[in-house]
Amino acid sequence: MEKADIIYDFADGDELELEAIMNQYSRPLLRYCHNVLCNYHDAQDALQLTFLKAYGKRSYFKAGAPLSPWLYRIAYTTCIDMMRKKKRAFILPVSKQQTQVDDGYIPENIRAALMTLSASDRALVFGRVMEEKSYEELSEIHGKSAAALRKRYERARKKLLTTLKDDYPHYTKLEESK
Amino acid sequence: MNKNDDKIIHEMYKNIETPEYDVTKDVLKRIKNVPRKNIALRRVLIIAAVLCLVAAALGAVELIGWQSFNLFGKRVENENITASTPIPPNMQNADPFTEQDNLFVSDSQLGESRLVVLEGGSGGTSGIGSYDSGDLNAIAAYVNNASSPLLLPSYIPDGYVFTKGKVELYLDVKSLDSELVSSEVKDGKIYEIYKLPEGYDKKIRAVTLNYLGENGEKLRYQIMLSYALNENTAFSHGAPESAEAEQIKILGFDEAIMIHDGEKSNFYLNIAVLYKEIPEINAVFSLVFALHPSENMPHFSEEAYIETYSAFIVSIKTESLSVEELIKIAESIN
Repeated sequence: MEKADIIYDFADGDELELEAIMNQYSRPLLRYCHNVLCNYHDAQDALQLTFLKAYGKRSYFKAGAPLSPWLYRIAYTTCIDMMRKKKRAFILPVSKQQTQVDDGYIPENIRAALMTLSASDRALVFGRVMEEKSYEELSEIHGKSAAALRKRYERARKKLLTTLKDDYPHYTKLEESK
Repeated sequence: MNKNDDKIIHEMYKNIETPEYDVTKDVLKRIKNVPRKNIALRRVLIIAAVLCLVAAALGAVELIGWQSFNLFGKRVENENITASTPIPPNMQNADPFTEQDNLFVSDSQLGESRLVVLEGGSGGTSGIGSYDSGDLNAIAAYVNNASSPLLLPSYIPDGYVFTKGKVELYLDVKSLDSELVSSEVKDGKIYEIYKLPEGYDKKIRAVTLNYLGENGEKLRYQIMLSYALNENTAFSHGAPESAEAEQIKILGFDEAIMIHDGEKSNFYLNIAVLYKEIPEINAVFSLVFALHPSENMPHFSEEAYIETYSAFIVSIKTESLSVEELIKIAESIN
């Protein structure tokens, strides 16, 4: 099944189309969710929810429109909602909190650096740096203007680098020697 | 931008390992009607496999597949099918919106319905044209001329300028007698074009009006036929799941909900969703399955492809207006 066909059929499709879409998008969306949530098991849950929501709301998907921003928008809101629920859980007594398990896939220094950013900013930096999305594409995912995202990205990047530069001194020295 | 800065961030991400995960099984398990649809899917696959084997054996896949079902036909890419009733100018199909909610787009032109049906009838999609215009009076005239129960607001706050509007149509039961104009089979799909019956362009399903404020703030008014109001209705009209909803009273409506987005992200600051009951309207839910009933999809019976609208829903979305202004717009709908 060709990519264009999948997109065209999705609004009226069934599990066949969903499966094709999952095969195509699960890998990049899992990485996206993992880098936003900083927890692999949560990212798996977010990925499942993303596809379930996309399937449940497929009739609202415009036939012929690009599928990727729509799926990323769903993944983004799913991750943000999951983070909010986690925050609320911390208000509960310790005995009722779910234990935060380190998934072991993110080195501790990197996790610490990423956690200085909000989940929304983590999504923004990952989308911009690793997926090379334009601000216009990111605007569709985040539901904010491209200009506002540009400013936010610059701030988030600076914040992240302040923490990271100690871990990557060779890059700093390279820059200084120029 | 400092290249080293980018390298640092790149290297950081490279150190994050994301193992493979087969999400497919877990998702399909969680979809309630998996067993029934899997049976249908399996049947389609078996039939497809058998057809392929037979066709391959005879060395004439296309001839056997399509000639025997009389499905040969020339695809009419740009045929201009004239509607039986006058259609206002400025007909376009280009979607002027970037938002993804509630705007069905197809390559159909007014006067025709285009269908794409998956081989074996296991799925498909159909579309009819819409009337798009940058002239508010033309949109209003179209709606009035159609004697539609859908209403437009008489009040829009100062400083807002109408930009574009869209009138979307539905197909009534008469459309089941639509005349087939062309049919073509390509890549396992049947592409068909039907000429729609007289009066189809008076059947309005939804009207969308878009405005821009002095500083580019968006305002969208949308009214559409509906069959029920449920708790998901407001959210299916574009409210983010993080939003909060509250019941309000608007004279002339059976129910009204005001939604506030806690995040105050663009275009979803306040949304009013209004609901009003109207005399019932019967519409064809899926022209694909109505015209291509399939043994593989027994749940698409005759009753299933007709749906009855008994209400309309209005949604007013804004990124800058106050609740009071939204209520004033809602109260001016007449």
